[in-house]
Amino acid sequence: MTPADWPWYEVVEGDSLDQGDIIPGCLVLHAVEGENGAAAVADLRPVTALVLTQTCDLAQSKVESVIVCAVWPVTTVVLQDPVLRKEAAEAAQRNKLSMPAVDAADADARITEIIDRCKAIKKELNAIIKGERPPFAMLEKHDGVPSAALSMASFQHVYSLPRPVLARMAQKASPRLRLLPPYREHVSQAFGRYFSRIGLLQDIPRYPT
Amino acid sequence: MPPVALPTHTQLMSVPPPPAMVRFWNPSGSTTVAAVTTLPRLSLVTQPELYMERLQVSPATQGSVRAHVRIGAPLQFQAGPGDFILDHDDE
Repeated sequence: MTPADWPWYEVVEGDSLDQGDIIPGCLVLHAVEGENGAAAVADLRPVTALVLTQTCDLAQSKVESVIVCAVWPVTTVVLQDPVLRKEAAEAAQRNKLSMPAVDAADADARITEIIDRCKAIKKELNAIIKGERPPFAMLEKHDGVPSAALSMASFQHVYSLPRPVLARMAQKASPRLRLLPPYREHVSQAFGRYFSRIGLLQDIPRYPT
Repeated sequence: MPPVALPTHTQLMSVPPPPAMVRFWNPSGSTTVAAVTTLPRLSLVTQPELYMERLQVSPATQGSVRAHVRIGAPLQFQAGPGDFILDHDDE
């Protein structure tokens, strides 16, 4: 078997749910602190959601709620994160390029061109690809239908949804992508690793570089 | 008076302090007067869809709900401090 025999995704339809399902336009309850600090305010916000609950739990109906995390295209991450945006804007200025709006039709192509000219962002995105940034996992693009840009799952944005609600959203979002093994397990492992990190009180000194 | 089920397109224009009556109408123009009991109690009907758009719950008034309706925009990406480490050594 060759790597080409192991694609990242399959395309699925219907309301079945598996770990690794990617569901665009998924409504999640995003809670923030209220104005007076005493109350929680929850907004319903649409995200592209990646199902993290294990397939065996979903298949055996062991769970009433499904855990998902939010996924954003790398283009959106670069445009919306203040640190990356500032770096990209400086690279764009150096190279006489302009920063696109996040919803511009050619945003992907223009941001890719800017990233190509910015070593610092390339190094950081490579670090995410290699799994060196615990809060994030990179998801490969999909050139077929439905198409998907190179994207980043954020384990800092984790939500719980009732299973029937998510199944209905999955049905509405069909056809949609589902991560295949071993990429599904790769992301699941990254999720587990993020929440099981340990800060050593007496860390081993690093070699100076 | 039984609680009133709110369909997804219902707009909550204002919520006066209790006791109160609340009027709802939808974007198509038709009006629905919802008679609310003197206890400001809004029942959210459990359906296999999420209806509420914004919910503010104050612990001091547990058992009653004050709802502020706001259309939610797509969630914006935001990393935590120090999540991205930009290395400019090679430049």
